[in-house]
Amino acid sequence: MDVGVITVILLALLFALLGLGVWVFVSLLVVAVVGVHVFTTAPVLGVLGQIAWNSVDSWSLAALPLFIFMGELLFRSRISERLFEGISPWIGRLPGGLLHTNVVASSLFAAISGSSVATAATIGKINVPELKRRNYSERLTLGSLAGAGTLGFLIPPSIMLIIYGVLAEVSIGQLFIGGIVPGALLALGFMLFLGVVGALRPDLAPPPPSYSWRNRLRGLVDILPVALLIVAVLGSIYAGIATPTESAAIGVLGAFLLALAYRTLTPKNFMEAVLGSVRTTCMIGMIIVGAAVLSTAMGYLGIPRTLASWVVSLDLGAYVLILVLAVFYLMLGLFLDGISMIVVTLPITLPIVTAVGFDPLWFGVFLVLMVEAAQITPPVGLNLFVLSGISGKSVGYIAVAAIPFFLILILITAVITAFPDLVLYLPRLM
Amino acid sequence: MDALANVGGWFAGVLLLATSALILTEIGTRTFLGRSTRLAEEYSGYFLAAIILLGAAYSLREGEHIRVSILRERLGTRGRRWLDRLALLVGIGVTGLLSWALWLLFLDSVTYGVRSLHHSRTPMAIPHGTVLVGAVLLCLQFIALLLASWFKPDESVEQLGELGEP
Repeated sequence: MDVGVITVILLALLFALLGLGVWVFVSLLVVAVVGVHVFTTAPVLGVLGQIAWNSVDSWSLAALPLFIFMGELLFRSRISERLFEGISPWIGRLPGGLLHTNVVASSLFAAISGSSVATAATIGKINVPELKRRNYSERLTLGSLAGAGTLGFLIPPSIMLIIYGVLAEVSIGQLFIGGIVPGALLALGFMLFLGVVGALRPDLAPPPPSYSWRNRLRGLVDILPVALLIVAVLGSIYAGIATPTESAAIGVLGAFLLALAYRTLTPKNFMEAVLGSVRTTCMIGMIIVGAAVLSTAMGYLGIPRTLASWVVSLDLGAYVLILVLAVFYLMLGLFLDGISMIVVTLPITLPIVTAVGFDPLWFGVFLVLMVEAAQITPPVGLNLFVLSGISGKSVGYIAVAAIPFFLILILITAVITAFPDLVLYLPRLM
Repeated sequence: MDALANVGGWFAGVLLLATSALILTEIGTRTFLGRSTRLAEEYSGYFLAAIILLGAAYSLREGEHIRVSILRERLGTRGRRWLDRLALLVGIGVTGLLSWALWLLFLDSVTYGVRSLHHSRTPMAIPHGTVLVGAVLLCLQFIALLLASWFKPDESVEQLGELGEP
């Protein structure tokens, strides 16, 4: 049978299963099994067993549960209060006032946590009530938190980049370093916007009382432990001392000590953190099993190769192709969560994108930006759900509030597409 | 079944702590003693595989595995129940196949006495056996949820995890 027809049948099956609400990992496995069993002569059980085992018996992937565990420990510590108090004296007098703490605290937390949802939840649980008490515009507060929360996936460590690295066989260390500049640009973009709005409409962001240098120095003491943790985790990767998995283990130790020092670590807290990490790891791990088996099945069927050569023969031009992909991912992001988006599409899109000359490293960062956009667009946008839970406002309200930040995100995506070296320069120096 | 899933979850938790400790030990011995444990890379992989599979049933019961809920939200209680049963049946089928496939993998390792290519020469039957147990637990959990949906439909309908309830 023609590869094109097989592709259409399998995709239709996949989206039917997903649409019916079959668990994502189950849907992936079903399509893979059907693909191999019906359309090839390969022994389906042999493939299933071997690939399922190989996909999770992985040293690089072991970074995943460790970074998740680190985030769970920090989420249960008093780190978000410390960040808010530490950062406020430094940036409170800028136009936009304490709204900037949303972006700066999210960026710092993103540098020790791999998840957007965790970032939005950790920073939001303190900043939302604090800013409300000071009469800040709730719309700007929630919008900027939704936007800045997405930095969790871009600024390393990043769960999304680990998954991409494992599936696309790209160095996770290099991906992490590649995410730094786009992440910083995005944070600057958010702050610039907040600054302009704050200057035009001071009533939306009333400036706090002035701070003394004494306040600022005390602020530094509050930020110091987090800064040390960032240096330990990212510095060890960048310097080549540790692999991402090892730096994750260092991060777990650091987070554990930090939680001890803040006296927030009770046995109950600790057990909840362990079991919470197990649940998230299993959820992501089973999706990776499904994705790996599906990707192998597609390889057997020759789907990626055929589609890639077909797209190349269309001769769209690299930028048009990326534009088409961006629109496709934004549509997909309306209905799928980020991880599913990446694993479902990667076996097909990666060969196409590399065939027209993009670096897989760059594409990883591009994909993460697309995932981040998906996190703040309804109906399925996890950051929106989290902030709705914290603030009591509806998902729709927060989605509208997040629109300017969504647009900034798209702008930054366009910038790194035009100048790929923004992503690729730092990893080249490693 | 609930107890079994919990045991799986607890084992996975212990293994998570063990992985952290193992890698930290490796870093410690390498930095301070200049020696490698020669185990960290290999065993982290086994532990990770075991965490994911052993904890999978527990995570399913806790509603952690994600699914798209757009259609489900638009249905009434009856429609939801039938949709859930369909999804559970598919889940039983595919995790049954997965268990079977991992059983064959395990059987191979036992029959041919396959050992790892690493320094430790670990018999692969042990890690392969662990993931097999996890896959079987997951399949049993799917069956238990289907039975619950049939015999105690009121309790189970909200329990089956949805996307967007982190």
